[in-house]
Amino acid sequence: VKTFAKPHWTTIPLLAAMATTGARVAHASDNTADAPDPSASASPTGENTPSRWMTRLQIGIRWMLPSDERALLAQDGYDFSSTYALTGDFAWYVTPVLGAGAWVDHSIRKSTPQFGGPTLTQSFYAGGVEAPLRLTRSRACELLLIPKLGYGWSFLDFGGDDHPLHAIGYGGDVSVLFPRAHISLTASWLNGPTGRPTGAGRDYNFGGIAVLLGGMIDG
Amino acid sequence: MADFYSIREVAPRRHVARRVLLVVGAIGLFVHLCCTPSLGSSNDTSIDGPSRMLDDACRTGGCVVEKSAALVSGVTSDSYAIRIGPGEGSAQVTFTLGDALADGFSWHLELLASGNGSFKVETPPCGQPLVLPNQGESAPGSQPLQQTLNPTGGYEWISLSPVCGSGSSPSAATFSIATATDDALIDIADVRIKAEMGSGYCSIARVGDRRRR
Repeated sequence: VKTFAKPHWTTIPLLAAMATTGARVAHASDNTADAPDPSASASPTGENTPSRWMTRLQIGIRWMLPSDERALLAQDGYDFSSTYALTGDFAWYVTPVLGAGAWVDHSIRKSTPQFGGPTLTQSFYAGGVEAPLRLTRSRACELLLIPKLGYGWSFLDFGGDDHPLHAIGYGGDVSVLFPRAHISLTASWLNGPTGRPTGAGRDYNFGGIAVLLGGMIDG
Repeated sequence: MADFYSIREVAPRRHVARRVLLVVGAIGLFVHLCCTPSLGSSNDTSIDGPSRMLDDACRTGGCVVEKSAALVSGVTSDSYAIRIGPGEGSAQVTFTLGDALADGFSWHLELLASGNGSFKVETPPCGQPLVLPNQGESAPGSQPLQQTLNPTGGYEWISLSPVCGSGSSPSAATFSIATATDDALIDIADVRIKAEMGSGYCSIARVGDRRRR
């Protein structure tokens, strides 16, 4: 007799989305060692079949890459060694190992000098394409290497009119996915050298190294 | 319906949900702590004045530029900087000090500047207004103090003389800077007051403390 765990109320929106998109719901009965299901491997959505798509939403910290502009701002009393980061992506697996998808990235940080002065806001928006590569996979855990390429816009302002610094951004993620728990843990690197802005500014880089944690669903 | 739910399986799922919430909470706390500016103690013998005093000066008409000097965008596109050179040029900057001066501290001006070549800087004696040569005769005893500035490449804070005592606390500070050589070029990204505890004082006053009083 196949039994089902009662879903917690917080997972109802996620489960509803998965039901409408055909995503698989992981259950305790997925453990094939306890309840082998010969038809599972034959089914395209069976538990031994790798997922055909996945989508994630993650938050974390990004440590900014060094740049002359960052050093100049630090001399002027504004510390930007780290920022909050919010990322999302979607990928479709063309083969069980290789996928193609899109990503978006946002980070923001406000800094106020210790001895007074206006608050400086640094925000960053980027998006592009990615090609996730499954290094290992099982229903319990997947290890992904995800090269990324895109374009980013970074805003540095004291509250006035601002012109973004923009450049091509590239980098990659190393992600560990736990599909049953719908958890994604990622180490991310992004490089975005913008060059020198007009005026007295210096070369800037909106990229950084990030540690991210979030939720994921696949199907 | 209750028969369809297995107690054996519901309990572990709740444990997983709790663990996920704990992990997310821990990560959130970690992110918050890492991204919050440190509240480390400052060195009370030396206090940097507020940042972006140059923006306040230039917005209120306190930045006068001539010839090759120009107001340009600064460390951000919505801030000011002053670029002088190459070629003959000069700038005079006057800015209000407000609460920048702390009790018991001597003080002097500093420029956050980058460039090369040689520049002539004039500052008034402590407590005196700066009178440029084209603005008439200086009052007796208020001849501007001259010094030569030789910026060397990258941005750094450059101190200007004189160092004024805590007794001279004017409401505004001023200086003028002009090229001394034709190939000289300088970007001034900001100005500030640097306060240092003078001898004979025993004060723990800080700019922030003074504002709160």
